[in-house]
Amino acid sequence: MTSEQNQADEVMSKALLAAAEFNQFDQAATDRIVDAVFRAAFNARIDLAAMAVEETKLGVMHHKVIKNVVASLLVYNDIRAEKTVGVLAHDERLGITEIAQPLGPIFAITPMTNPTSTVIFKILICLKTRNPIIISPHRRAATCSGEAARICYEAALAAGAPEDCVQCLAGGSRELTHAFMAHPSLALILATGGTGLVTAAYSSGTPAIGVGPGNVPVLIDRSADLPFAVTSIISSKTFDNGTVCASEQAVVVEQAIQAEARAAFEQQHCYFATPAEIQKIAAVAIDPKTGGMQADIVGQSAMEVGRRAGLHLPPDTVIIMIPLDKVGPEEPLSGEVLAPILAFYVEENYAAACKRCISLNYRGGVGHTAAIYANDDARIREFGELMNAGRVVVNTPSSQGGVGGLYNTLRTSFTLGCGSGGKNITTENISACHLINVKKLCRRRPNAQWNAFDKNAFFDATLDADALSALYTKDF
Amino acid sequence: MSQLDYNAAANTYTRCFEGKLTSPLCAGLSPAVEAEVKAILADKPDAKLVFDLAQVEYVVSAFLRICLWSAKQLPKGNFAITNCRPEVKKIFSIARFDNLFDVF
Repeated sequence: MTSEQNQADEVMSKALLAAAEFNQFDQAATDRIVDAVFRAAFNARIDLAAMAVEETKLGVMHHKVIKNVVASLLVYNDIRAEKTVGVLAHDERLGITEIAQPLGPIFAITPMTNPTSTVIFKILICLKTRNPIIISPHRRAATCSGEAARICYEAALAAGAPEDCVQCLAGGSRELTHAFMAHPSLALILATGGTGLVTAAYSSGTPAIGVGPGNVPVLIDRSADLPFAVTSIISSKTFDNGTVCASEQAVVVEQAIQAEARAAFEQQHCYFATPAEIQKIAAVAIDPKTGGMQADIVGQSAMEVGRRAGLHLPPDTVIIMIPLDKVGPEEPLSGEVLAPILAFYVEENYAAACKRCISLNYRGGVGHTAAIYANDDARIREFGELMNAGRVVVNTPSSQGGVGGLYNTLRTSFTLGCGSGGKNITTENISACHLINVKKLCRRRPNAQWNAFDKNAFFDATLDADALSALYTKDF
Repeated sequence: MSQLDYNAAANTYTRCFEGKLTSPLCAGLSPAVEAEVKAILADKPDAKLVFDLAQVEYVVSAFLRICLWSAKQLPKGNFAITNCRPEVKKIFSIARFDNLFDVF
């Protein structure tokens, strides 16, 4: 047995004991723990944000605070009244009683981009559902993620939670991660991270909820309130220097409004790069081997990206706009970059703009998020049908809109399901409801139609589907 | 915690527990059980030890650790849980202890 396997066994043994004890908690005891964890996490929101920025060297301190607030306050408000223990629902007519059963130990992989907020979020939804959680933080955020986990765990313990209900790995190798993900006692993997990690989670043999990558197109329709749309997009794309996977990656506008749109962006300190500058930015933002974004560009400011690319950007530049006319590997910046770099496409008309958004959507962001600014309801609906996205947000900053709870009534989440396109099982915003096995106690409610039907008809070879259906539905 | 009873015919020690086995309670139980197990091993190394949980309605993970430790000290098959209620039996199953020793 390898040392990684030994370490995984030891942690999993503790988690199983916590799961066993947790199984005896009622709703009130569970909610007391969740309440205590929320308060502790919320009270630590500023210190944890400072730690995250200091350790990862990415993002914006104030925005990290907001992320911690969303992960604690909004998530708590979203789940606090949810029933997660015992009988969840009973329908006398149907004879169905739904009963909650915890899943068991959950292995939570957390990212560098939201290192404390994702930890808070995952701990809250796991404890709300009486599932022990084992956190595997990103190696470049292990200290701040570990501190967030420690604060939450100590608050949980003080509120009566089982010992070892929260465990955080100090760091570890790929082999250790695999040992956990494939461990026979593990119930679920909650994977937020790069594509490789999410794929490894799905390949482990353990049920997994992973997050697919994004490449969010935002269409500004001619019916949109253009100044509002541009301001909204900028606030979204600059939030935490673009680290949110639901942030806009490409703006698509019709020719008729492109000049006005461009002026609006420029007026708010967005710089439109020249073709030569685009090449320099691509050189620092894109890994030539993989075609994906460079890890060290993530969460850097526009000015810092410009500095690394050797550009002399106007002072106070907040976003580097990248005018493009193609989508694909030949235009590296048409893919996802989690930094204030925003592709800009001008199309002849609405139909062409939609087609461009489809191309962007299918260039690495299938199932994630898309956005539209419009005041034409027919176009909004059409766009919603065209996009392959778990969330199509309307007149909303997609960073905050995708997360839910701020600009819409989506569930507040730091794990956004991307459906089959993103190799996920669901398109929903993941929350406590996804971490319960719902047992159905089924009382006898005989099917009168079936019982009244003469089953000998099934053995009559002369009766086809239409004839049988006619008989089966007769008098019903 | 009751006395540790010994049945010579079955060469079995039985310890009965009752009520809610909480963390503070288990903090006191742990050294007591540890001492008893060591004494059993010294006096009758082939004797069995049974924890009777007929009167137990709740167990914390600390008690599960006491059971696990005791089972590991004794020869394989010489430790068992008996008379537990269904809801307590389930706790041992969730902890996967029913693979390590008998839980009746």
